[in-house]
Amino acid sequence: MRAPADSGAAAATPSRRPDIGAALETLRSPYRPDGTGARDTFLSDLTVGELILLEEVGYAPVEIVSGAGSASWYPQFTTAGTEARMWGEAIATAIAAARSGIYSEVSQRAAHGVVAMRLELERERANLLTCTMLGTAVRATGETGQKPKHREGPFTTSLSARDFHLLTRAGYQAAGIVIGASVVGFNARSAAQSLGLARENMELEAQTNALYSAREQAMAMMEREALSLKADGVVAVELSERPVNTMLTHAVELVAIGTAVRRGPAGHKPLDPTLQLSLDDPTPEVFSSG
Amino acid sequence: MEEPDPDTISGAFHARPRVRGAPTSNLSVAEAAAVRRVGLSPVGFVMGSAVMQLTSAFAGGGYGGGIGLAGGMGLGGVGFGGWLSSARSSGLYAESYPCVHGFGFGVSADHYGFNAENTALAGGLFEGYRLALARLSDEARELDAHGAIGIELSFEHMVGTSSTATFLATGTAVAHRGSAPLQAPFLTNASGQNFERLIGLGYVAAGMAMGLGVVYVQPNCLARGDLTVVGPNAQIPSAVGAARSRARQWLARSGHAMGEGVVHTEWTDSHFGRFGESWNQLALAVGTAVRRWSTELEPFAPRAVVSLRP
Amino acid sequence: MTNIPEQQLPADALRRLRETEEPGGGRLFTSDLTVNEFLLVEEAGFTPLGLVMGSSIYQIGLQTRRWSQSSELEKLTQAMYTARELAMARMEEEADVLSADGIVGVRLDVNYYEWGRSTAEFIAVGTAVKAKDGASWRNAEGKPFTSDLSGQDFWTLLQAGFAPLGLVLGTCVYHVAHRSFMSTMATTGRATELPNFTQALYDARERAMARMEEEAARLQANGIVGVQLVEKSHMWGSHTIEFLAIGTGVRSIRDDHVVPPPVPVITMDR
Repeated sequence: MRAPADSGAAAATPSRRPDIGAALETLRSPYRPDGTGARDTFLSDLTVGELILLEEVGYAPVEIVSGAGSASWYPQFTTAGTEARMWGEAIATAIAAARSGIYSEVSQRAAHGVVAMRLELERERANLLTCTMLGTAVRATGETGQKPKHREGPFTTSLSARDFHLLTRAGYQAAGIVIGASVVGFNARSAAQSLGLARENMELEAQTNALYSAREQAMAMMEREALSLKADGVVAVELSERPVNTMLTHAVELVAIGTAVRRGPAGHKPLDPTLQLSLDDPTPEVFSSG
Repeated sequence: MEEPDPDTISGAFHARPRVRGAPTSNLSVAEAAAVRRVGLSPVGFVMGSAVMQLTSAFAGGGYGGGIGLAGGMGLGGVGFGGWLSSARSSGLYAESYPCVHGFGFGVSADHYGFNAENTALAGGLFEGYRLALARLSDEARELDAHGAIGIELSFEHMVGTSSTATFLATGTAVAHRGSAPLQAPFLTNASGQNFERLIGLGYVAAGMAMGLGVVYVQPNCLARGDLTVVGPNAQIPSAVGAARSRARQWLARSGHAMGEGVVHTEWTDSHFGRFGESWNQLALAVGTAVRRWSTELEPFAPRAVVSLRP
Repeated sequence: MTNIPEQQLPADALRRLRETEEPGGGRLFTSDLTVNEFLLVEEAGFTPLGLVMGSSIYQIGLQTRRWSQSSELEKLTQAMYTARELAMARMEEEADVLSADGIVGVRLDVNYYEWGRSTAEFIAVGTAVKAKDGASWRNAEGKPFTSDLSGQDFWTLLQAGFAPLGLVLGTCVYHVAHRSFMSTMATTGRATELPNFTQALYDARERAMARMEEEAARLQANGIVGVQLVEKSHMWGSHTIEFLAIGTGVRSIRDDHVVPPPVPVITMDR
């Protein structure tokens, strides 16, 4: 806001509205790095809009950080159950290694958390699993007056900058990304015997229960992680299922990923959205190819 | 003043007919509105280009037959292992990927692989972009502009060659009427709308920050997709990772020279120069280096809305 | 349709739902709602309790068809209904364990896995919610409401003075007759309507929609919103099609249905 008209102050308070003249004046004097080195330049892959959304809730970008982990298991199984268990453990190992890699990069840069994290789980050949995580490390600037508490260590979230802004503005705190995984295997021979050979259209109870169980186990593992972060809930859960065939086993790999959140002491702070109606149409093509 | 010679680069620019009061630009209506709202006027479409002859330290692909390495060491004189360790000790990325079947280095070019940072090519590419940007900046200065926005960079191989490339930079020059021009116009890859937001955030664009990483990849049998072996392929992800990480390092260094941070970074991963089964893995990062001009601005306070879908 | 007997939830499901109870009496909520949807559900006066799901692996291959006759394949219709009802019933039971008022964002998916020639897995997933005002939002059958509305549509519906009652669906698996060689030859080269086919497809769609409306009537709904008509051949070949009509039955909760006029906007971002 401009200084009040009747103020006797000799120097006017700087205008709080954007002033291109003042911005260009800054460029007239040469930039002198303060000698702390290239490490302290912040790097951001965020768009300007995303930067604004972060700053409005009191965070600034620091650096891109990443972590990777990989694990394999040996296909010396005798039953579907053994392979399924080893596979599930490999997933957990790969994810844990990637997470600890990204945490150490975050601590090195004295940041408080990671936003817009991309998580990829890739299977190469038949038995090697690689997990990679990549995101923008951010630090709390404390400019909105609320200094967030980070007792629990750095948070990581796959929420976009926009989702992170909305959640924080509504009074929630991102606690971290939480993951659960499980694998259910059906021995190929017995599956072929029992499936597709019944005489009526009917439910196949054994398979239903097995898949059900595996799904619930993946969710339970994810929820336990959230409870350990003292979270109040998990949002944006993605449950992905990937059927996999190996030599003896027809298996389904289930992975549940979400973001654990904590409610603030004031509960949900209303956003009071307004309804809008867009008058946009898609851009007309001036030259369209035949 | 003498007649500009249209056969030179600056002459071609001067010889371009100029219409007073109707600057060309490639801004959309909304972008032009954003530029005017922030207090600038578009003054013209500007561009810069360069054609470069690029050398690869590993030209010709494969090894054994006359590879020149950066620094001029021939492979024949130094064992491959020796070359690897000396490359690494000078800070370059280099990694060998032996043949999974057990064939040694000299036996078969189809089996033994390596990744090696290709600083000669990286240098050539960087120079091409730098020249294109410098010429764009000159054009902006000729128009008495304070800066150029919406800069896009591209390069293309010239048809029929594998080592000649054209580098092109385009953008729109903008000026602040009534204030003296800057020593060097600011350059940014941000659009008009994003530039307006940057100013509102308290930052001003200083210049383009750029980082490049090039890794020459000669794939081993596994990376070529040989189906007779089982095992993880680490060669290609490692090359991509190393190229990106070198690009990030140079991006930070180039940003640090101009401002407090780099925003609006655009990343490209591509292949350059295929030689048989080998190629150069290229990672390019281009962003805007920014400086703070104010820390006292009104917050944006974006409004939450629910759109009624049709 | 037939009454599904009380379902026994697998032990793992019960365990997971109980584990989310916290010592202080709170509960860890989970949800596959996006952040936007989650915040709008809270703005609408509800709080999420947990992700609930139900599934059923069902064999759905067997019914003989008359090659030259267009008709409904009642056994397959029944199978598609039952499979989905089983999945939804289990999902609703999970919601009951959490003492929910309703389930939003329900997704009904059909997954095919390689190991079953004529088998598919039917899954119902949604987020169980509870009203913050403590009023009862359960429907006429005393069960938590279900709805496939997104968080945004749920909020908008409540703004407009309506509340969801339940997901309503109607299905019909129809076999469309193959044409005889002679009649195909007779019409080659001419643009002409094929009245038998037209009638067959009309018939199938009408049956599916009528069954959906019957379900809505049983719930004493004032209307159905968000109706989608989905036509799929699943694994039966192109002459056998399932027509599925699905929507959310709603009831009026206020006399006026006036909302503040939306703000017209144009994007300046292009």
